[in-house]
Amino acid sequence: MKKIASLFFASMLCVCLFSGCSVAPLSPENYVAWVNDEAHGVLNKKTITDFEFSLLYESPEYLAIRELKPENCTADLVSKKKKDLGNLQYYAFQIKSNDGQEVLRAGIADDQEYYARLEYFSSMAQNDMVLVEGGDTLPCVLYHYERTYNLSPKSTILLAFEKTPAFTTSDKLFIYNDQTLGIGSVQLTIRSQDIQHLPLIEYVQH
Amino acid sequence: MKGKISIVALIVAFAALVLVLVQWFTKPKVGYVDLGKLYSSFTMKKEYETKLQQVQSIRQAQLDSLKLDLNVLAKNLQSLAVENRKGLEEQFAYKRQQYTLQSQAVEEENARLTQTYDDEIWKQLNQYIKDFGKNGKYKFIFGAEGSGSLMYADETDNVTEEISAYVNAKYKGQ
Repeated sequence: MKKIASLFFASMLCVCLFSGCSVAPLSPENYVAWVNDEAHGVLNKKTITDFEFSLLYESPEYLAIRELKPENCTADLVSKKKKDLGNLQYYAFQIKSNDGQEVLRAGIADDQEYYARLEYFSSMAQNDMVLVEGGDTLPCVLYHYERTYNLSPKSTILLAFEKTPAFTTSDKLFIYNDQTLGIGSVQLTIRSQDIQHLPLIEYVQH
Repeated sequence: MKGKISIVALIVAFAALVLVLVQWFTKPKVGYVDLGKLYSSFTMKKEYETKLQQVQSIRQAQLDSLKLDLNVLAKNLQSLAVENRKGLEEQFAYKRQQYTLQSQAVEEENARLTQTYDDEIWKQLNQYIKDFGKNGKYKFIFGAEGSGSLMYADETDNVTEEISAYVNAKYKGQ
């Protein structure tokens, strides 16, 4: 009798432990909100003096939902979109100026500096961004800088790196060797276990 | 009478204990950090030191090859008769001037780069110390560097190791 009781409690403990590790499937809309919650680890932020830097890991599902709009997402459409994304890992790197100005204008002395920053982020910064994964330093293979035209203090840069065999097992250290904001090397880590623990998605049936 | 005295004594003792406890829990949390030690153990500083050494050694190699040219030219000059030296002397003077200018430029550029790196390191280090203080609810964190800002502090308030671990994790964005 004692044996049965201890077996029962052990199995209950296992159930509790494992259920605590995973999240119930979420609707596409809630999935996007979940990913954008810093507490879940795939969004990492840090402030250095006048700027806040953040790195968001964008899973293929996340990118598909963002493009298709949550209300239109079906399992088929998302799976098709995922195929188009290829064997790459995608990130959104954001720089926010804490004084409320556009990043290109924050703390500059003259227009010349503004245009130098614009040129740098439009075409040169790609060479200063790498992802270190499992001992490999991966260059940025896709780079897109979104201009805000002074409408927002946030500048977003969309990035993609090759997916190596170490993708599922290694933490990702993103390094931005800044050449224009006077900050130096900005480093942000996304833990592999946080990527592995992304929730499942419950798609709408059409 | 004796019973009354002992009750008063008990109340006084209890009040004193409460006072001590209140003072203990409301005293401002302070700490100090050995800035030299913290700076040396900062990962960003170590990375930049390596970067700086690489840049400086490349520049030095370029200077060395100029110097080698100059030495070869000087030897050739010495081996020639005085009347045949004219053209080579001009070339030597030009190369010597070029070397002097280049070595000055390298020196200035090295000093500028060292200063830029130092500024960037301190910018991040100061930010992370500030974050550490805010997160740990410190009232003050003093910097001990032997320059007179903090001449003595009890070792129990030394938070250098704690801050060092914190700033290095913060630098790596963990």
